Amino acid sequence: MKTEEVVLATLKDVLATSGITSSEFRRDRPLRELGLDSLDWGVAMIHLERRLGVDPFAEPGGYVVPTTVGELIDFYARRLPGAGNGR
Amino acid sequence: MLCELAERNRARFPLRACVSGDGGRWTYGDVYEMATQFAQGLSLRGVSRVGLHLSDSKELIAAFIALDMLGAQAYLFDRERSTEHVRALCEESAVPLCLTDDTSDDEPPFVHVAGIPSAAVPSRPPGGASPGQVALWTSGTTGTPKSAVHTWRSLLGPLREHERFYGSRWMLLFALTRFAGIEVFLQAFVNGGCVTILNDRSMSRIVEHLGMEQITHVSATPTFWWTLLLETVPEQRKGLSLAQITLGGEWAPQPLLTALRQAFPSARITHTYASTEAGLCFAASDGLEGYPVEAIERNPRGVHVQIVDEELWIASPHAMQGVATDDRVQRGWVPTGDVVAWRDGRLMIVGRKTGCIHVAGYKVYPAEVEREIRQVPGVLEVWVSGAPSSIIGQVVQAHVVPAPGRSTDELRRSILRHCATTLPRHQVPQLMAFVSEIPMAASGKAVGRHG
Repeated sequence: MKTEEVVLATLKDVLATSGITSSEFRRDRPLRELGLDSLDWGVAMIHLERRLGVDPFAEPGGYVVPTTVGELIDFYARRLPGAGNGR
Repeated sequence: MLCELAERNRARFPLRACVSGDGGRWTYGDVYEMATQFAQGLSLRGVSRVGLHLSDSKELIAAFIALDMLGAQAYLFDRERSTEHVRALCEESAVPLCLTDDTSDDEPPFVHVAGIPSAAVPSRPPGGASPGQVALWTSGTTGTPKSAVHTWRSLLGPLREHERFYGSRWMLLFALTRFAGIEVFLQAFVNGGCVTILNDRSMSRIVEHLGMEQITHVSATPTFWWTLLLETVPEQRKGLSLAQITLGGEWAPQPLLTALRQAFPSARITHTYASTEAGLCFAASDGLEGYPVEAIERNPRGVHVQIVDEELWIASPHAMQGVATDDRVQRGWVPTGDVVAWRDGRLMIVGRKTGCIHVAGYKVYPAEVEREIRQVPGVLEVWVSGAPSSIIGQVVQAHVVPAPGRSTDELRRSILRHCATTLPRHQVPQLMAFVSEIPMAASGKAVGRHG
């Protein structure tokens, strides 16, 4: 749970710098509804990687593109050190 | 060459759709007829160099054909450029006439496209004596626009008629005034396909049209493809008929190629390496990033490769003419500005040599961004460079030395506010760090800055 909160807080911060301040971050919300374009996403992913220390593109099996807020959070949460879910 | 192709297509399938967009659909017959009218109207003026400053795709395409019919050189200007800027470029290149649909300026060299009279004599205009030349604008390595002159022959050279294009329906997502856009359009045209060009290019509109028109062929940047994957769900993608997915304009990373394969299992996925200066150089469709050495050695496009100080140089029969963009061009060899490496038998692009930053396919020149940031009070020194992004290639990163006592939070806001009003969006630094000094190499230049 704590890990999820860290990821969500990071996501909210990052989106705020792109002008997205909506409080509607329920898990099933589609990412495309957040209003980010490709430039925003590129920046958001860099910030998420720098803050969380996880590079999603270094996955050996390939990067599975998340489509909802929940999937994005889970992706990072599963890979954070100490997440307790194993890597 | 283009006009013969247009005439052949008109004879074979006059009623087949050639161009489609928000405003309607035009057949190969329609486009040829419009081209003939333009050619007849322009031939009365006897010019051999004509600028094109048009937003309507079918008019632009008809004008390409018309100018090739006349053997005249076409100068392609992005419609977003102001008439003032286009006039200056026309003067520089001795272009006496420019077709435009901008009504704000009717002084020479501008002629409104609606003002081209249709000829009283409905005869076929004489074919051009010299192969039609096409001047495209590229930023080269220093940011000021330079012209890259191609011919319809060099543009058509690497393209093929192939049965896999039979009945193809294309969506064009690159500008028709740029190399990539012309190449995609010509690939469709050579194969008698139909090209859809939308004015509203929001992702939702694009996806809607891909489905409605059952588009089969799309060529776009890796950034576009990432965004499409992020913004569509599997149910939407099932309704699409993509047979050919092409990536160009940026490095196509392995995670994206893999994700596209998973999302579109029945499509052929091709990534390409091309530039306005060198033309189309390599393509690979095996789903692995980079370009296999066997394909480069087999050399299907007549492209030769040299690596000098880690930089890729290209010699190609389809390259632009002349040496407009880089003083280093020698004996037909064009420096690409890309730093490359061989990895497991594949050629990989690992960075940019010249310090030019590539953000989502757009070029950003650090010096221009630094110049704007220096104007903000409280900035002592600044260094702008590119930081890697797996999605969009690079982002703009600024290292700023603040004046003593300045609040960095407040300075950050001032810098971003200033840049937002003076620079295009992708050039506004996406990352900013405050440092006590700019790292200097022994040569006295900031580390990572070139030239």
